Amino acid sequence: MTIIAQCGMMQRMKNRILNSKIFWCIILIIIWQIVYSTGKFSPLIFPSVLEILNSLYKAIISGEIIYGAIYSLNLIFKGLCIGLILAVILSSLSILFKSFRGLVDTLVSIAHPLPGIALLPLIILWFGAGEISIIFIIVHSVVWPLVLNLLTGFKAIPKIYKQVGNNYGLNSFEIIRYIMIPASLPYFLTGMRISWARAWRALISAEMIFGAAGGKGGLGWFIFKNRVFMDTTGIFAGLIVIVIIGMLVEDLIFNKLEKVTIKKWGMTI
Amino acid sequence: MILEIKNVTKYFLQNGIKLEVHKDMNFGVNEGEFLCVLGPSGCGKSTLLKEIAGFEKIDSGCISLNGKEISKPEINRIMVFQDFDQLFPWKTVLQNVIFPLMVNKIGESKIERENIARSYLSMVKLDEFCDYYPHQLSGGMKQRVALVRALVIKPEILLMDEPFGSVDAQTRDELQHMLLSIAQSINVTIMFVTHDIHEAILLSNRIIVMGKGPDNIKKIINNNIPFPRKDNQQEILDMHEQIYQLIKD
Repeated sequence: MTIIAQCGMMQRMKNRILNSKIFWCIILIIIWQIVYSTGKFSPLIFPSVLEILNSLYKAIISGEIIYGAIYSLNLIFKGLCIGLILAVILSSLSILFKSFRGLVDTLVSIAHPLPGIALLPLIILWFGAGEISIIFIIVHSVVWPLVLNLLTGFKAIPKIYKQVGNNYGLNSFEIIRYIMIPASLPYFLTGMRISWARAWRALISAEMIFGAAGGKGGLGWFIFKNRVFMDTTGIFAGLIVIVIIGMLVEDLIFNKLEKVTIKKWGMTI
Repeated sequence: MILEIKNVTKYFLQNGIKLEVHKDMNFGVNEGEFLCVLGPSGCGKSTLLKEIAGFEKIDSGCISLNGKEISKPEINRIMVFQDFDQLFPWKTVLQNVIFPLMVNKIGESKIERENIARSYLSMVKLDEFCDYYPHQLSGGMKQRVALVRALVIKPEILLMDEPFGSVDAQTRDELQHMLLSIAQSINVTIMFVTHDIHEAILLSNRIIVMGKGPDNIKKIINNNIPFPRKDNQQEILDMHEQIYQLIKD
């Protein structure tokens, strides 16, 4: 092997390390530990990495945090599914019928800028402080960005696809099913990413408020409870689990989905 | 006559001004012929093809296929565009060709549809590229897939809108020969729009020469030069000169 080839390989390795999230996570953890060991902050508000990991370990062993994560993921899954179906229906109606377009546009501009949390008091009044209310908030945070992205995606579809579809005898529903949905997939996936992040945030915040009132709870409730008991390491343990789930969904689900669809098809935007 | 264009008039409205594309146009397309529509850009030849396909409405007159007036796009008239992006990027080459069969429920089973599609793909020598996605193909290969996707449902007339307009000269040559041999081996009526005089002479049985302005069929030329046609044949050069003078005037 020539020296140049070796240099190239080393350069590539260096780039891979610099691009990997794990590398940067380790750096951040080291910085954290250095700040802790200066002793400038009370361990009560700035615990050491080891204490946090210990607390996380205990919460995993007791099953508390696992149960919380499952509870939260279950809620978010339900909310995402409902939001997804609603978004597809709303954006299809808006495309199919001119009379719906104005309605959907109005609904989006009313509801999209409205944070789910701002709706909480009203939702508690309507549905009480239970699962239904949390799911309602998740659906709200999913459906509007998704509708917005789907509509943008539909509008960005090259005219030629629809012409080809019409030429091959497709009716309006077949055009949506066979052409508009796959052709707008890049926008749909972007919408799902945004929706997922929003739903996750909405869920955790809603749980913090409802968890205190209701009986069982998810990760949000776990963090809230630890704050009440002034268990800072527990708070961090909860945060770590939230971050890890967020990263896993991003890397394992969304990146994977893109890889087997739009990246494979050369359709990235 | 399979396709009849009768007194067709078409205009566009631009800032309230009527822009006539063609006026009282008349001609027919015979069954099994290869008809080229030749003219400079902006003469309305592509618009004419879109009207026949049903993508554009005409303002008066009548276009009929087998005596039936056409009003919208249908599978008996399939268009092949110039645009490389006419294939669906989310489907493989094979799936693209199966698609028209599937939505129109042609063929008994999935396997039969696949076999039909494969046999058509082998006509354009793409057997080995069945599982490729369109973005992995060259422009010429994409046009071959588009051609086969159109032929697979056996349209009564194949409409081609400068399909080889965006490929390099060598590939165009290859594609022309491929199209010719397909047109001679299966029974299909083709209407082919081009601005390339040489291409029109090489491929067609008949050439409609269009000029600018709404009264725009200049001449309809019968092209009986025997096959195989060679680029530097005297008859071809003569016809080229004749058409060139026609368009120039």
